[in-house]
Amino acid sequence: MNIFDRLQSIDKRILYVLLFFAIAFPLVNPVPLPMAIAPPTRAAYEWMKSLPDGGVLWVGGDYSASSIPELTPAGKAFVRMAFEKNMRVIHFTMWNTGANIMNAWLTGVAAEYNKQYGVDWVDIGYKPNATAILRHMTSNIIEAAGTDFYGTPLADLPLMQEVLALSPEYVDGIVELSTGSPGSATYLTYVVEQKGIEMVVACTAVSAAGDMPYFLSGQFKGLLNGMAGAAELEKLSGHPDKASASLGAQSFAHALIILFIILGNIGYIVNRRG
Amino acid sequence: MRKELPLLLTVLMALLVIFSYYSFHLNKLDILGTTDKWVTISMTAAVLIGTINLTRVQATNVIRRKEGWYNSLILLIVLYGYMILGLIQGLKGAQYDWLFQNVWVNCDSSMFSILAFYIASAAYRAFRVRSKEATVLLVAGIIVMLGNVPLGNLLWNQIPLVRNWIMEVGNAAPMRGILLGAYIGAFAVALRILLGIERAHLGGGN
Amino acid sequence: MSTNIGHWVGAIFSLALLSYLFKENAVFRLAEHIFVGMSSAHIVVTSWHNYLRGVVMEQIPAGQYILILPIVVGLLMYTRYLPKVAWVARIPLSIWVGYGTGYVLAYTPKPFLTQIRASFVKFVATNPDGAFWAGKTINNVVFFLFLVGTMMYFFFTIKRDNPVIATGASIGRWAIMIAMGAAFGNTVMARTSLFVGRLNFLLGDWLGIMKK
Repeated sequence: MNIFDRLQSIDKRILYVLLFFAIAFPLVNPVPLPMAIAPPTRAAYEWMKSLPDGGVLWVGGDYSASSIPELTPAGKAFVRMAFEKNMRVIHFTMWNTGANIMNAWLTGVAAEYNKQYGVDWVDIGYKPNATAILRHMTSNIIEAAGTDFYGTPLADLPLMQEVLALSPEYVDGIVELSTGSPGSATYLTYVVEQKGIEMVVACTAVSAAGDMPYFLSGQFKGLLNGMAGAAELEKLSGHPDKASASLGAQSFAHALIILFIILGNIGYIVNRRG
Repeated sequence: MRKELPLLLTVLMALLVIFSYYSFHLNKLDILGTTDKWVTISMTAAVLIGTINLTRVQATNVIRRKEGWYNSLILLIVLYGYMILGLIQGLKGAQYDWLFQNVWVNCDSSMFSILAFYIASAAYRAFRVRSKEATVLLVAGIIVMLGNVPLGNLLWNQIPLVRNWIMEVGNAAPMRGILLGAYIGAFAVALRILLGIERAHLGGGN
Repeated sequence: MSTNIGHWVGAIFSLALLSYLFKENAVFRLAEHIFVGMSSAHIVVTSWHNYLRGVVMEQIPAGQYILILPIVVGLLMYTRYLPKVAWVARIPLSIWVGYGTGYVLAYTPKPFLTQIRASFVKFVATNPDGAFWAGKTINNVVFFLFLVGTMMYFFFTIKRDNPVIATGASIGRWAIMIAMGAAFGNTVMARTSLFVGRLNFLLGDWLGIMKK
């Protein structure tokens, strides 16, 4: 086996160890790097800024624990922007695993801004059969959802006595944190297209390529691409948090993977010519 | 009866939704509001199906002392113990939420984080410039990887712009083509169910 | 290093599951089974507390007895465990499938048509001042060719010996390669993000060695 053969078959355990250190080192010793803002992120930021002060923002938290690094920072940045504009926030999730995750960080961010539950924000929590519930909420939230995350009847919460339906009369915009299905496409089909409410989406990077046609058609007013999109929004909104702090590690990991791809291809090309 | 009744119900339910949507009068009556609720309640009433299936499989492992049966036993204890705890305490119960945030969240995150290593390994082994098409795929992938993180901007400040072009033109156009095809596919399947041609959901046998 | 017992428990489970990278082992399998058990329990608990409890404990006792009917329909699913009446489980299933089918046929044409409408791009683009915009024009033409080419690539019912279809499909193949490359680049970012998140927890919350 010559060196070029070896370049094509480096032991995967070496790659694993190097990848671990490529991510760990910049996390322990942060390296500040210049960040470019992608147009879909800027569009989301501008859209968020354009929402009326004191309005109502609907947050869809449709993800599980595995997507926390990508979507929680984006969600926090959006909700912080909303609270700074004195907007009221309503959260609803179509993922049973998203209920406790969303409630935990929403409670934390609401506490940062001294927001009162039931008045400034409400957590509807998880409801099964997402499609039907979501469509039903476009005409009557209380009838469709019944109770909130804590089991309190929605009719008893002051905010929900004011926001009767998921429609433009009551809700100024939707921020959807989407991992897959049910997610952004569900909102698009049953709420955005039917009722005309505007929506921005923060998606996991896996979905970004497939979601781009929706951004270009204007069906999504903005699109955050995974952790990078979240970090860009953190920078734009002036709330640097975990995504910004993690982007250095992401850079090193990408560099390592590209380096290995190049090494493998050098071996392949030289061997093919020889 | 055993096939015809379910088939009839399928068609009737589909027609109910379609007419409720397209008929102005039915739309105004918000019939779907009632049926949405009924369907959701019926689906939720069937939520234990998954638990029962899991119990059957794991209990069989324990009873027959199959390899790793003790793990199956632990799974059953955790399943019913955690379920009872949750049903008693509620989602924000001190112990229930503590276990969720500290055990479940970390398990789910760790399970999926393993994929980082597999995709790195797969990229290294599979990405070869074997053809012109493969080269285009590789170059597009590398530019997007670099453009997505600050490193790309640091190496050359035009990389994010090339990434933007790839995402918004080179990627979005074919993705829209695929998307339109997927929509047509979904319509076709739905139409086949409505017309009774597609009956897979009725299962086999009598 | 964290003094929070929750962080320690989380770290132990994380390391147990990550040990799979080295090789499959007994500790991994134990953690995996606990994870599956909790996941299954959580579905039942959230469904009960966030939805069904309100129906059963409040709405029905308040006089909405008609809601017993959908509960009975849902319960018919359990007849699948009784071989003699297993076919009855098809009743709720057929209702749900029919309902979903209706939803697809009624609601999805709108987003589909919006996508088509957005595909009518100007071949001669102008900037907001009304002047010719070369960059946008080129992008629009490329976008159109890539879109039509991709759709032609999936024409399996028309022979490729037609030169228009053959050329279109060829453009489509190249376009799909770019899209797949972009999808792959993003997938790498998504997957590495997951491990970055894990190390944020292990090195930051648990070991406390990350600089703020």
